[in-house]
Amino acid sequence: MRRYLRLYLQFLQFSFSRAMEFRLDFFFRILMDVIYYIVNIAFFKVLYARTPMLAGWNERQTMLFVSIFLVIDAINMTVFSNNVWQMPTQINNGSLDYYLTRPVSSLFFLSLREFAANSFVNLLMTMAILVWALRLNMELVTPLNLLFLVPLIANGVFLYYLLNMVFIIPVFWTHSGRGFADLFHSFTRFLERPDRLFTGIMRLILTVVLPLSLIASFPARLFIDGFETGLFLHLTLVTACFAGFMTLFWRKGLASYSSASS
Amino acid sequence: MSGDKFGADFRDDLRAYAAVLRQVVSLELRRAFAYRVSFWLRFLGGLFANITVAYFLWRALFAESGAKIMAGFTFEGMILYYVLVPLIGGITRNSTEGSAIASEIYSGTLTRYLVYPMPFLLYRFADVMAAVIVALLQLTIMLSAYLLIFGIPAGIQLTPSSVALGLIAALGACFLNFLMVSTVEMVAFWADNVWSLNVMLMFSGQLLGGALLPLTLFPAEVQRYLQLTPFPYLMSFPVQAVMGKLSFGQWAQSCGRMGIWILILTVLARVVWRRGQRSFSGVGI
Repeated sequence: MRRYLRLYLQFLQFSFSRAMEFRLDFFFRILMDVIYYIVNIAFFKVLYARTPMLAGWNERQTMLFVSIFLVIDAINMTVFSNNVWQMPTQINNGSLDYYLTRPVSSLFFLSLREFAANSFVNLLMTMAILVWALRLNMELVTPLNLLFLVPLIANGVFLYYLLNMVFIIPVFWTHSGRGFADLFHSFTRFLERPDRLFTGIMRLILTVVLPLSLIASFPARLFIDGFETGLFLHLTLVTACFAGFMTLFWRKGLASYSSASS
Repeated sequence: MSGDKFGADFRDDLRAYAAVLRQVVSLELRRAFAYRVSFWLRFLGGLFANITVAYFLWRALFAESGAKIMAGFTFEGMILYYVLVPLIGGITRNSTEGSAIASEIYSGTLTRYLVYPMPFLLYRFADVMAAVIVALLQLTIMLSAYLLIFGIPAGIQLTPSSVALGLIAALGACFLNFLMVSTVEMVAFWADNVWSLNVMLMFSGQLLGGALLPLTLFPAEVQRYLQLTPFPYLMSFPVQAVMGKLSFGQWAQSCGRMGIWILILTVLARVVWRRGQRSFSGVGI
């Protein structure tokens, strides 16, 4: 464990020094994410000009949902995104060999090697948006609620990563440029909307089969509507199942990996 | 005599350009279909996500607000709008994907295009035209299937002529988007990475162009200011034209405004291209 921590600190140091080499890009990326936040907030602001409630939430509560989603997205962009993005190329051109021969878990190395230092600044900004949204919903804020929000967000980030990986791993067999990453990108629209919008079979899909609604919507619901044992168990059970499934899937992929010819 | 010679040279140049463009379009089409499963999965997945999210979101909004018409759309009309957004977007915004020009600058491979017998940007636009052909095919199949199954919603004047006007608008929007994206990508002559600039443009276009929400939902004053920017012409204008929501006069006026933007951006792109070439070392980074 200590070895992995030491290694991760090395990753951090390397990533920050590299980010500072490309200063202009550093600022462009910050600006890019700021626009993304504005777009997401403005989207719901325009909708709430037409209705007082949406999917059981008023505007203030939806802003809390949006801010939770933005924090989860920012952590994912900072910690995992760059690494997952590069994986199909590494699998296709055989550079995965390098990671397989290291004396650490290949999944750990590949998933966490690059820390997006520029997104880290954006992560701080999303935290500020979360604080703003919490201030809009002061009646919901208690020390216990806040403490509980931290593992819920962590779970959302982890689930986001797991689902993203499930769409990347097929590249071991398809050998296409990006695997099904673009498909996952299209599906992320579901996680940007409150889960109670979806009913029937779509709800089942989004909460069990492809649990995108569990990433940000369930944490927001547990915070806004109060703790619900069933909801919490659902969240942890589905995340655990997906963690197991992704690990198995990754091993299957590695078993059929044949270096540069892949 | 010299006039005849000039005319013959001009015709030869045009013929040579057309031959190269045909070749580029044909190559790009083959590349697009190289991974057929991935290609169709991506397209159908994107379409499915867009329509499904819109269906559930607007169903809830119409139910919660109790309104029968919102911003000029019935519920069925609104769904048709969201069916058209990704389909028309395939035509208008396909140059947003990838960073072809920036990649050529970074790798230094732009050098080979500089000695080609045709302008680099024209060559790049041939790539875009290949994607437009594919997008037109997708639009025809999907829109026909949708209209056969669900029919034309009440209050929507979708006719062959509205589709024709919409497609003309979409082709203009495609060129406008190409100019916007190319100009941004040419910043790569000076900056280390322009991918994020491209994404910024995409995010702004989604909200301000009407891909996320019909622009008629925005407050009137915001709509008025938006008309002064190039964004509404990228998505909202062609989609509204296809749906028959614009009179011929409004369509012509919007085409005129789009034309002005095309003119401005053509000049800008030429200036950036010329200045960029001067600072291009050809070695890549």
